[in-house]
Amino acid sequence: MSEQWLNIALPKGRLGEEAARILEQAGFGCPKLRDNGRKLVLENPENRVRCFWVKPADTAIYVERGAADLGIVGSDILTECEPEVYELADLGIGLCAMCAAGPADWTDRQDRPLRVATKFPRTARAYFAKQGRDIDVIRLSGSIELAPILGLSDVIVDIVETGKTLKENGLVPLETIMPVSARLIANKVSYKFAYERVTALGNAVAAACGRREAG
Amino acid sequence: MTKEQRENKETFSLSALRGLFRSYGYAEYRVNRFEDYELYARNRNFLRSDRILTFTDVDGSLKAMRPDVTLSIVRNYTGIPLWKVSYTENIYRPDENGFRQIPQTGLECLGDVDDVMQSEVLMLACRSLAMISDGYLMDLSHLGFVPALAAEAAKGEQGKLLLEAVRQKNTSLIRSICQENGAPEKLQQDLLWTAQAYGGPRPMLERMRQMVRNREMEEACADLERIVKGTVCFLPEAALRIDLSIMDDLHYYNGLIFRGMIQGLPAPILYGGRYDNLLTAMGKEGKAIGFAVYLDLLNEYRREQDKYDADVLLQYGDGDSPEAVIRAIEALRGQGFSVRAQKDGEGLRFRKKVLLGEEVQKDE
Repeated sequence: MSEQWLNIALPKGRLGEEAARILEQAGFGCPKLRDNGRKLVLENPENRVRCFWVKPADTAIYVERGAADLGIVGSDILTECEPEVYELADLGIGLCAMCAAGPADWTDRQDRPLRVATKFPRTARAYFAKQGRDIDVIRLSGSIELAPILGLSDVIVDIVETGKTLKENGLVPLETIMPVSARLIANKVSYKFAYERVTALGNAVAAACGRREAG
Repeated sequence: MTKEQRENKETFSLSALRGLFRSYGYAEYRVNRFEDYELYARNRNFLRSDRILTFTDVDGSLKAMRPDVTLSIVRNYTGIPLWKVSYTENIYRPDENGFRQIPQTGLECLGDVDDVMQSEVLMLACRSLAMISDGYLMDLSHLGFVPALAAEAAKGEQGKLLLEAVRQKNTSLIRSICQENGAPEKLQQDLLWTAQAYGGPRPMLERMRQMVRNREMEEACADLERIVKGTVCFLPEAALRIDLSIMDDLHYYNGLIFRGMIQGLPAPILYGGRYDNLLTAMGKEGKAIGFAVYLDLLNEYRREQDKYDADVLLQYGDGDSPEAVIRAIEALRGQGFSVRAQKDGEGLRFRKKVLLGEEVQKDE
């Protein structure tokens, strides 16, 4: 019987392109991913791998709901959405940090709830709850740095890669909440029905990441 | 999909499933339409969500739309030596879009639950899935095993985090917790194995026995072995697998825990296991085991499979005699095909189009 196709959801953008290269090094790649076309679904009949580009924040949903057997997703999304998936490997790419950031001269006045603008409300709530700090979450979907500048929020909770965007907008990281990196995730049922292929892929990806780190 | 598999799926019905439960002595049981909210307020630890759909009854009492059937059944357990019941009920649970009504069918066995009863319940869980599809897997785990192993590596909050890492099969987190807590290399390797390994009972149990470190793990191995042996005696072809990373609902379950999956569905459709803890918490004596099939997921499966309006589109013309068309319809149905007869098949989804007078091979 021919091997089952493996469907892999990749996040559009730089992270997805890097992940596609790792998949190729692991022997589960799809050379057509290198084409800069507009096609969203790309297949490699030789290794029976089908990759598709999705919005980074949606990757976990595709995997959890079984539209994809596997996916590459940032650990920030996993912490925020807590999808029912298996987390098979840390790819060690897409490294950045989830931070609380604010104006350089900002000090916390404890007499009122802290206004926090973020795309990650669950992460922000959990972090400040641990500190016993009451917060008012302002959920935004982009340009988070604008919120403290315009007085919409006191601080922000967001992903910080180099800190350049913060700096250019007069903000500084105040505290690191957690490090973030890309993870290989699997649908819980696909993992079982395609155990041999999924674990072979997981091990090959982990080995390819190890080689990259060593190199 | 072969014709036989199609027929398996098409012959599945709830009444056949209930008939199966009855044939092993499980009496049908109806719980109250609404429950007192207090039942759930006192047993929140045993519920999957804190949020319960409530309303005030005409007498001012606070009632709840049932989020769980087992609690109601346990509450009504009178302590007879062995109570075997099956049920088909709706439950109400929240998701990101609000409360959902979820149809559920299942069975519970309370009282003197011995090895035979455990194997019987697991066998019935397997048979339930086999009635839906041949492509099913029944994953088993034992809650006496991994928690007892993990306790050797980390305790307290770190111990909880380690169990969660095993549950997610998150090997990098397992490694980092083990290293942080100074766990020996062999223990770390054993924990990594419990997270990743998946396979048939025989090889899995063999390896589990080799890594036994304490009495709890030894008892878990022996318990699982007896249950598997009995289940296979009932049903030799049972598609059993062991996945020790299954450790959901540690408050609810103890001992054997199992999850049933159907190929093509994104999540398990059947959940079951031993839940003696619940009986103790509700002041009852005895042991308990049961399972539930989530029928909403079954509808999802049918939607996935029912991609065709009919197996065969039988196309005929104005000049064809009605008798010839009817004879052709009945002949095709007699071969096991579903048939849609009409002059124009535009917009229809079918496996094969047949013009009146053509023959269809039986193995298609």
